[in-house]
Amino acid sequence: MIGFLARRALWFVVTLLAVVTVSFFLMRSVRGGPFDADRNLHPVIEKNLKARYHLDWPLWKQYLQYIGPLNLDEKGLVDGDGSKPWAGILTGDFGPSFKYRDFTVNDIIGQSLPISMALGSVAMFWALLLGLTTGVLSALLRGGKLDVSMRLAATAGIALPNFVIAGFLVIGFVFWLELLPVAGWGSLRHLILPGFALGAPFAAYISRLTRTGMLEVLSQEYIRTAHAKGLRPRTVLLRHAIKGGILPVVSYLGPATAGILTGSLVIEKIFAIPGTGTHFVNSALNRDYTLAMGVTILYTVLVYSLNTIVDLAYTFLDPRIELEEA
Amino acid sequence: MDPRRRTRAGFAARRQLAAVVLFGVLLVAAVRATLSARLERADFTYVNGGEVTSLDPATVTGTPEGKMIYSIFEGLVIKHPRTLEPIPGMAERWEISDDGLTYTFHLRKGAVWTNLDDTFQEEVTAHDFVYTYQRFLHPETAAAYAYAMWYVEGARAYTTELDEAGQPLHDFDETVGVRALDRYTLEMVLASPTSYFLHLLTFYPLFPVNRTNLESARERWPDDWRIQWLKPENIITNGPYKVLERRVNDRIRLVKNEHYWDADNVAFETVDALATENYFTMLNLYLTGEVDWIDRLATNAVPQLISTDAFNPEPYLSTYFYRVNTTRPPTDDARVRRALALAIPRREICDKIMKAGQLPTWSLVPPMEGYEGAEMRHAPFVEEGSSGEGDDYETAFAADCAEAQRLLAEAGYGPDNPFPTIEIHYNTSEAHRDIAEVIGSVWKRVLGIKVKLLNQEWKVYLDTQKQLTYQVSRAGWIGDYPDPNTYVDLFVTGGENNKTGWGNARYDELVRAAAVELDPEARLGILYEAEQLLLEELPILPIYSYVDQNVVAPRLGGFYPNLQDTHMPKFWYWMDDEELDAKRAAYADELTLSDPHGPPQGLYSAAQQRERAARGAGTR
Amino acid sequence: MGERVSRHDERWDLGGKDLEALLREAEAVRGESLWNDAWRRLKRNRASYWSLWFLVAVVVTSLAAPLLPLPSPIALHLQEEPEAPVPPWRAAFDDGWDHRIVAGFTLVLEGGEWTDAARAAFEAPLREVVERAADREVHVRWSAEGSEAKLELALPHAAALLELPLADHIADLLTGSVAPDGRLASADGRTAEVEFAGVSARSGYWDLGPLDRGALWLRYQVFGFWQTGPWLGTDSKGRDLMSRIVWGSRTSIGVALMATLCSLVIGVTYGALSGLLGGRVDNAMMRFVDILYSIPFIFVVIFLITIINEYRTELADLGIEYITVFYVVVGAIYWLTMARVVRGQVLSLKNTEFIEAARVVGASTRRILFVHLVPNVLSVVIVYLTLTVPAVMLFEAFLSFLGLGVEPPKVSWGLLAVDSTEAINPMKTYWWLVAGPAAAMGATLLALNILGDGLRDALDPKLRGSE
Repeated sequence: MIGFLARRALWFVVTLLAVVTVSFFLMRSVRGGPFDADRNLHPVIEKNLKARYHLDWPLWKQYLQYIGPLNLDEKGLVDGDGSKPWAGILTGDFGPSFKYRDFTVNDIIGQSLPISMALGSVAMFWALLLGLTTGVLSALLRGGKLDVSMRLAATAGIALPNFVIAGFLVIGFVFWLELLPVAGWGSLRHLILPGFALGAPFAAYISRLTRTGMLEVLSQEYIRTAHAKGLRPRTVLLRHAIKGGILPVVSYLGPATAGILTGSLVIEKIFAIPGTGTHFVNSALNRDYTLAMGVTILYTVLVYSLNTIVDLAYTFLDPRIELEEA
Repeated sequence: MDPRRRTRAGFAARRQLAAVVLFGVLLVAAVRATLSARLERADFTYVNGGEVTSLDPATVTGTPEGKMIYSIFEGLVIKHPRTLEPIPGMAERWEISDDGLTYTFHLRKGAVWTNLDDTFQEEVTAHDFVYTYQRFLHPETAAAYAYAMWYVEGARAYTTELDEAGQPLHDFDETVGVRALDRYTLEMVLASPTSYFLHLLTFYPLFPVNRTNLESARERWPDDWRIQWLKPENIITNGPYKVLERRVNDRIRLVKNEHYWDADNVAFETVDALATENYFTMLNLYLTGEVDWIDRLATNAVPQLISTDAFNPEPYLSTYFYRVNTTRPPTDDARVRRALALAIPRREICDKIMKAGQLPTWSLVPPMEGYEGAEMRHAPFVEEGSSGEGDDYETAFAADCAEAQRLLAEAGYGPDNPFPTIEIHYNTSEAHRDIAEVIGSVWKRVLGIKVKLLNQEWKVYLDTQKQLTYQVSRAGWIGDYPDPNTYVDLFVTGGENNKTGWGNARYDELVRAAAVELDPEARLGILYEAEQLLLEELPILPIYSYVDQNVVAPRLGGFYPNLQDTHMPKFWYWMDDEELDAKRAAYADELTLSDPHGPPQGLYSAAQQRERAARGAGTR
Repeated sequence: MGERVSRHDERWDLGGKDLEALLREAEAVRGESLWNDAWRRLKRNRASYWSLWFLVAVVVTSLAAPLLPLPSPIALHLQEEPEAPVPPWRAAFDDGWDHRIVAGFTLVLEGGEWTDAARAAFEAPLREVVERAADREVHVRWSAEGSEAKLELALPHAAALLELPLADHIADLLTGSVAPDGRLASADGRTAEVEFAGVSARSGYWDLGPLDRGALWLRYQVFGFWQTGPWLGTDSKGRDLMSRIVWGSRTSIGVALMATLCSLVIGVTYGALSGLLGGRVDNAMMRFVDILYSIPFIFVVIFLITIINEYRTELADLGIEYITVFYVVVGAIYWLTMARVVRGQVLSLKNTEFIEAARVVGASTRRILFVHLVPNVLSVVIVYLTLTVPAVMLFEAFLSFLGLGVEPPKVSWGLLAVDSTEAINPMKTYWWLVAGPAAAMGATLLALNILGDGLRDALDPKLRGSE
């Protein structure tokens, strides 16, 4: 176990470094800077603005400053005003946002991440609820009409882009039935529709995985034994079958959560939810270097830790499985 | 013990249950954590069109930022909500010397600076303005609108003439014409008479900031002060509202500043500015009653709203035009540019694509009071239904197209020298694309020019314009103040916002002459001449002039459409039903009545309430 | 003393006919290859079977788009509001075919207003002029107000018809014989001033390849100017929705197929190589994939697309369109999972019994690869492909939402989906703009998913022979 975690941690550092480096240089190689605006600045003013954020330094120096708590000014490696705008990510300081200048990246992520997590949780809830139910039912009633209609309903989630699903939901629940608010953030009612729209595609996959898993388990010998013993079908189902059926879903949770994070961008735009997804794209489009790096790192960290947790959970849930390198 | 529980399967089952429960608890906790931050509905909610870049008046340039600054700060003068004339703000009265160079402001006594929890109170003095303007002009502040203050004597040199360390060469107190004569008197001396200087002072970048705010922040947070001084708990302001809370990409909540000198006249206690950007979401929020004012509308929603009393577009000081790269062929030939400009179907664009009453324009400067703008030469026409004699638009446009064909032929293009493909370049937006498509199809039909459309993402689009690597590029410009100079001085040779590579010595001369001309009439005449010269050379192709796109709750009072689409929050209030009905009875046109929003009994400021009680109004 | 069982058991003595019957029976039993077995089982799965044919129909329709008498998907007819769908039996004959050349004339009748009779008198000679100049039939459009009239004579767009010489030709004919001084006289003595407004070309499509242009010509031969009305409605710019869905399917399916192909090529090569080589190399290659997996691809996509956009003109000179590069970018995102899947499959197959058996028997490596490994890997790859195509289409829609995807005037289902979000508001929802693209895209993706499930069931070796 310790070995496993240690190896994971090592690869985590390598991965993170690779991601940071690639993103850093990729971002700066594209045209357009964070301070380009419709009204051009006087050259003197533009120069000062860039200097304040050290954008006039050579790229490698900016990179080093970004990574570590190196006060390059003190070491005489650059000529500057002696101030460091930020301490470097190794100290956990992601710097000030270039676009939202009254906030640091830490502030922005700190405010938006809980919101995204809440949205993601609701989405996950819907996905699991719909997915597991339809999957189990469809496995039990295999081949019947209900199976087909369950599968159809579940597949609808991956047959349409999630913003189209959101559109339908808005027409149905906001305009026709007038039950839910059209957009915004602040109460549970605000979360229902966006959560559903976000979770629908994952419900489809979970449904399919559950169905497959359940079918495999149900065809196993020990299920037949349980039936033969005279156990009620419900007991057989709940106590024995579902365990096996859930495992594939558990392993899917990792990529699913990553997908929810990135898919939430569209939903956040449509429902005006101030989550982190919006920042993914907007920071790239605004050339907000620090915020863009911040969310990239966040994404990598989240995905990596989730995968690790999922692997650990796997062993926890099924003692037969050993912890091995994937 | 139950034999079942002792088996391995039994343990696994309990573990799984535990895992599921844990997961569920995490979900619920995540949801609850964020929902506990719920806010009550504010008295007035509007959509600001994006998260603001900053609350520092000196460094911002956008409209959403402007709206915030108008709410929390107040300058020497502010705009009258209807006429946009400068009216007293921090300054009670002022005198202008006969030569137009010296402005003396007498500040009101009793205007104070406060912070959010009222633990800080300080009077607003003339020294605050001296400090503000020094900071504003200092090169390190990197104020984008610094040029707005360069009309003041010595200001430009202060900002742009620097020593090797990047510090100003000149001393502010000695060379720049901003002085505090005493605690309540501020004197500003201009380099040359500028008739619109007072208007400039109503503009938000020139609003004051508090010295203690900045200096104490610098002491307490030496690394971080730039962000800390603007935080809601630290910022010190003098305007009608204070910032209660800022949620990134969600909203800014403002509360009424009880110590504001005119608090008696401020009606709303709380105001929310939402950061929604998506047009679809904005409109839906308005229509479902969640917000009371949006300032942008998708063109396909215009037909549905235009007949209601919530949407009444009025002219807006802004022009939509195409920039033309005059440094490379074939557009380096003025005849070619003129041909392109003549063959633009302006009427079709305004009526069929934009649909909100935008006006076709053949000028650079949008219509404004007191200035009869120059127009590029084109075939005249009279409107349908008007009494004049002359061709109608169709005929005139046909004549323009014929003239365009002739010009192209004159420039040497024809069957044996076909015109090269033109690329129209625009930033990602459906309206821009549609306009470019329509123009492209007319150019193709009339002039035989093949047109390609190039869509670029905003930042790349800006860069392309700056680098002059485009051929024809979509552009727009919002006027900073109601004077033609805000447009005319864009196109001086080498100006930062020229971006067409065009330069003309005579034009530059005229612009300089206008800057020093004392007589207002003569000055406008010079600007007219400059505009005319520009419209002869046509480094830009004028297309239409904007209208505002405000969809406002009919019940809102103190809100008037004006040329600069600037609205001062201190004047807003909710009308009660009586007043609303009276307003509706007075509509000039037939308008469908839409949902008025707001409380039926209205929401009035203290002063208004007293006045109404005296009148006996609203007693129901 | 028992009977000795004869060594020669008579039961096994098969005389002529019996032997023949036995041999015939043996022949009739065919060993089933993987593919036959799979196909049989797929046919048995009704939903998947129908999905397959539905998809074939979709692809055929999209390929045949230029042949169908649809209105132009991109020509703008700006109007106030989107037009609601009109069922076929009520749709009026629509002669708005945009892909054509129009010769325009304005006529001013002297002394009176235009009537049908007058029109007949003056239209004929002009029609003759144009038909003679172009050597083909024209289609007439006439609008008159008072004494002024506008006559438009439309010709089908064909590569052979060049605009400028045609205009000169018509002008010559007009001034030469028909209306020498700009005046036209009719048999009953009336005169009208006629002015030739020139020839203009309206293109209803973006630049089409020679194959498509040929198809368009064929369409004209068969259908003439007739085209379907707004059976599914139009959007606010007057563009017919059905036409946009059909033409959009070309782009979407094209993107999806190309991107999937791209991911296939890269992924299979990488994964197979990694699996075969095994050991340290395999480890390193998979580590690389893991790292790439951790990069949030939206980021990379945005930047890649921006960078590619910059070299757009250079690429166009090389003959590569922006859209092709776009496919490659999108495909480059999906190869990672493909590589993993293939590698897993190759690893598990490498050491299976039948591979060992083949080795023992002495089969060459090449034979092992192509006869044993590839078919099994291929089955997994095929299933994965049918599930990647929907993912790519959804990703294309997502990019269109951000404004980074396929560019107008080209149409794709993603763009239609984005337009549909703008058609929704509480006052009035243009339901057809939402329902049409959703139905088309939903049905196709649903079919793909069902087919994918069916294929997985059909190709799963564990279930072979069990049904």
